[in-house]
Amino acid sequence: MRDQVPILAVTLAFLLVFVNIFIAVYMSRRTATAKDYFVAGGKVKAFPTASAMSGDYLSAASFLGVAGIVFMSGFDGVWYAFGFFVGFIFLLMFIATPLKKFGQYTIPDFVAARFNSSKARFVGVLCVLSIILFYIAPQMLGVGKVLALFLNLEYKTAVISSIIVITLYVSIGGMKGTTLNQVIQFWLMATAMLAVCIVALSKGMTYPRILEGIAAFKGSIPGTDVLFDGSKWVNPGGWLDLKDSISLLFALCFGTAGLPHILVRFYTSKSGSSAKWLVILVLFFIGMFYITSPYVGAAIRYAFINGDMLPMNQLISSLMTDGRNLAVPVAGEFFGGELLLGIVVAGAIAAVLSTVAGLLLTASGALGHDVYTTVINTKATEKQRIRAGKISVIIMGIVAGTLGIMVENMQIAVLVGLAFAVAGSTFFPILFLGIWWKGMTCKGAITGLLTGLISSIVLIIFASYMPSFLQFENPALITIPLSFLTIYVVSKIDGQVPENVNEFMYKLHGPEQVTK
Amino acid sequence: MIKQTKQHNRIKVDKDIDALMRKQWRLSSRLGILVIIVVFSFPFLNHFAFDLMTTPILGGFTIAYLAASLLIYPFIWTIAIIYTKKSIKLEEEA
Repeated sequence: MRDQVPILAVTLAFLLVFVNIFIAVYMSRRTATAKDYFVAGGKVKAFPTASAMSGDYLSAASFLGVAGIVFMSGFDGVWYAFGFFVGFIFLLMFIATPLKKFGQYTIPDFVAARFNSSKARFVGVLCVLSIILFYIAPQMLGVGKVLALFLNLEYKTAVISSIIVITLYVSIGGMKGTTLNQVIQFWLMATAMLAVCIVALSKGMTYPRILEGIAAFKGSIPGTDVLFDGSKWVNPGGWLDLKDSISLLFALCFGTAGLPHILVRFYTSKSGSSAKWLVILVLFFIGMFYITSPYVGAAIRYAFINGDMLPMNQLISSLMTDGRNLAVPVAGEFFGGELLLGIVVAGAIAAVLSTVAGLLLTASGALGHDVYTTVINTKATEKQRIRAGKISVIIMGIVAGTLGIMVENMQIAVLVGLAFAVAGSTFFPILFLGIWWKGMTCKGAITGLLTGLISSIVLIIFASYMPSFLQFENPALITIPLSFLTIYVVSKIDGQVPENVNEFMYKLHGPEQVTK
Repeated sequence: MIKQTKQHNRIKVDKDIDALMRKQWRLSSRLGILVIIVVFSFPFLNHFAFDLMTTPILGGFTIAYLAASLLIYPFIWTIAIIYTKKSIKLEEEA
């Protein structure tokens, strides 16, 4: 807890929340159909979609976690920024355009249509919800930590109040309101991170200089009794060995192409070619962000070991107790005082709001569209479908808040890395093979989804009980190939390829809006 | 990948679709393999050529740190633009 609540941070945070709710209410009047609610009518232009997708993607893990893990682990933490970024290129080259050409509401829609199977849809829903739960927990952890520390709130209170606000504006605004909010949130968090960099650089902390200073440091950190070896920090292998580095990269690179809340964004773009330019824009936006955030982690590490923070005991204490999650706000306050802290806290809240909003919407698509409209009430009216979406958002909001409270003592970036492992082991193989291999069968798809889901969850939760060759910081190196292999073997044995596979492939790969 | 589907005797062969998919696959897979080789070579180089990769080259920047924190970005941006232009051209020809 702090002695004083930073008034500017509180003001900016409330302003952001007020603007988000206002936009949600305003856009709710323009949401007339289920297509408006779930995919914003499917006609959003590339720039706002790219901003919104970047907002969706740059979560608390990116805003707080990447700089935090670089602050803690140095070079090995840079892998997170590297992997989060590189993953998008695989999405661009193998998934984006065919998925847009398919053009429905959800990823289980794709799975169901590819194999003409409601069982496949159901397993798809199960995977969507599992990934979202893994992903949403660290977002709540991020917002809980920041609000608890800087606004003097209890962690639980911070989590609960945040999820109430997000659930409220997502359920009201649907995809249209959420998209506009995510545009604002993305630019706010990008501005916040850039501002910290500019202020740090203006104080003479150039990247080569701080790395040189850190590498040369060996001894106890001023103001603490903690020993620190800078040469280990700047070099690979301080935290992750070869096996874990590759497995983490596997998860981050291929998990991106399996994240349902990112994939669903392609349905909101106007066409297949606009989906490609959309990814290019996203690559530029998130690339600029991932260049800056490891720098912030390194800069605050340099200031920490250099003794620059000695008069600021509160900041030292924050870094000592939870530097892995709080390096960015501490950097904001250290480099730019209350003004920059206010901007950073608003940026952190924006990061969480935008990602959780996207996750809740995707979950509402899975429950409200895939379960309610296609299974429970197939003759639902537009109003009933929208209402089902809103109720689904509220249910998932309650689950997200509960999970957020449960993960209080964990690390944001690591938790999100695990969500990537589940996504990479379930939807990436299904989409990749479903788009490029005509020989995939329904049984192969279902078995592959379940194998990816179960193996990744088992290797995450029961890692300590596994033999050493199956113990990973992130199990994607085992689970992604296992899922691919399962799909291939089961499909070959089964051999029951859907009758309409050629028509489906023509829809994915042929000219847009033309059916053969 | 496409070859495997042709060998599968229960799949109807559609020459137009197979040709279309093959062209798109060729473009995506070539660039994709290039990215995979570059990206996954980093951890191997860091492990097996540790001394080389940890050589300082610009202030405190080692080869490994510079590549992972800065150089990878323009590389991926370039590949993304090349892919997008080529694939749009491919679709226009289809």
